[in-house]
Amino acid sequence: MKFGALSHSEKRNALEELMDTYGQDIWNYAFTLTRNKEMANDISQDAFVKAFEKLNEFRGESSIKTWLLKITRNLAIDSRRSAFFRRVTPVEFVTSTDSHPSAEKEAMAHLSSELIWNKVMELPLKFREVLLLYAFHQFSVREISELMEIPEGTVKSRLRSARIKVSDALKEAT
Amino acid sequence: MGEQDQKLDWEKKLTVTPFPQGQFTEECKQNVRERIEMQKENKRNWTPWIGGGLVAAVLAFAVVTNLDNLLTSPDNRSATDIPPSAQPNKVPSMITEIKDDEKKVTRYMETPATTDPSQAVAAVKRLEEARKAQDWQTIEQLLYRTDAPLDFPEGYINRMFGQQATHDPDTVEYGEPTVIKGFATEYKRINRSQEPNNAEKVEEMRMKFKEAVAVPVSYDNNADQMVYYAVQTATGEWKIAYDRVADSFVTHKQ
Repeated sequence: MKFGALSHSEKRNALEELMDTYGQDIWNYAFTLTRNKEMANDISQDAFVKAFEKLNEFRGESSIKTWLLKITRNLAIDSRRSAFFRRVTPVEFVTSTDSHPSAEKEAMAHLSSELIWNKVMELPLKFREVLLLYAFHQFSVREISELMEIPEGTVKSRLRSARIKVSDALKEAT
Repeated sequence: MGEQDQKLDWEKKLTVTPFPQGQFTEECKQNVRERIEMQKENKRNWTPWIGGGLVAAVLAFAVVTNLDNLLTSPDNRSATDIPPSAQPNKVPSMITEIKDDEKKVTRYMETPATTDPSQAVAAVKRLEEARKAQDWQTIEQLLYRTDAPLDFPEGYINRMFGQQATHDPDTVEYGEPTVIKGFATEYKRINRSQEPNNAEKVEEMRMKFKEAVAVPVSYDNNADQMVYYAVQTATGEWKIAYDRVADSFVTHKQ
């Protein structure tokens, strides 16, 4: 996908499509990076504003999703350095707001998912990010390597470490 | 990709359960739309002024320069000639001077100011002791109250309370005097040697920090490369700071 020289209204249309298609992915990734809802809101919005500004520069060298995630990542890194990213709660623990009545088995399964998410979100960022890009966003090791600008070997080793850490944590918890 | 190809059972669950937090809502989308429209409006409003503004600025500069020449004599210097540090009650704020587009250079954490260097170190030690003793009242006071002696960064808090089990081989030992010494020594070494690659960084450090005295308080596991320091700034205050520049002056493992 390339956008070339688009008019303002064409860019607006493209933006709408991008927000519809990738909005949630971008938000999820921003939350993965910050573990903070407010920041995920801000960063995901900033990402689309930035994407809009740079839309004409997108050359299709990576997928549009990877490009958006990269913008999100850079913004999140900047936010982490900013003076405003301070007195935040260390971890916003995952708590489901769903309250569907369900059979005991379903409830157990649900709890289990919640536990997994908790353990994943407790990982340090460098492990959490790789694991979620791989397992949740379904990125390949190569794509993760390109997005994060780290060698594929590093991606693999972080992925391995992340798996060990989560597996151990799950064993301990059950 | 080898072993990575086989997804673990719990990993599969991640792919089939929704992300458990929040959403990119319609309100988020609307905010984006409004910001873009606002940018467009701003651009439209400012464009005609740019040309006129430039002319006005040149004229204003000429006038001010002449006036300054008239007013400035050895015995009658204008206030702008006095260095900020010599002006009473006017301490330059490094935080406000750092603009958004300079984010990538250095950022400072605002902290309650203290001119007592020992307070920065003491706060780190008190927190460490409180953590060992599980003294949550003290921890809360040190971390979150408005009268907290230092503003501990999130990365530091995570490391102390959330990531103790994930000891990173690159982790520096925070608050250790040997690290202070290591930091100062390394700074002085690079400063003296004037290594070409580091000249710019050294200059930056020299401008920002009064002394090369800094207490690394945390290696930020999350950011993977940044170290937080308690740093004495040019104004004599102690702040928790982090930056890549400072990071390059530290030997991670002491």
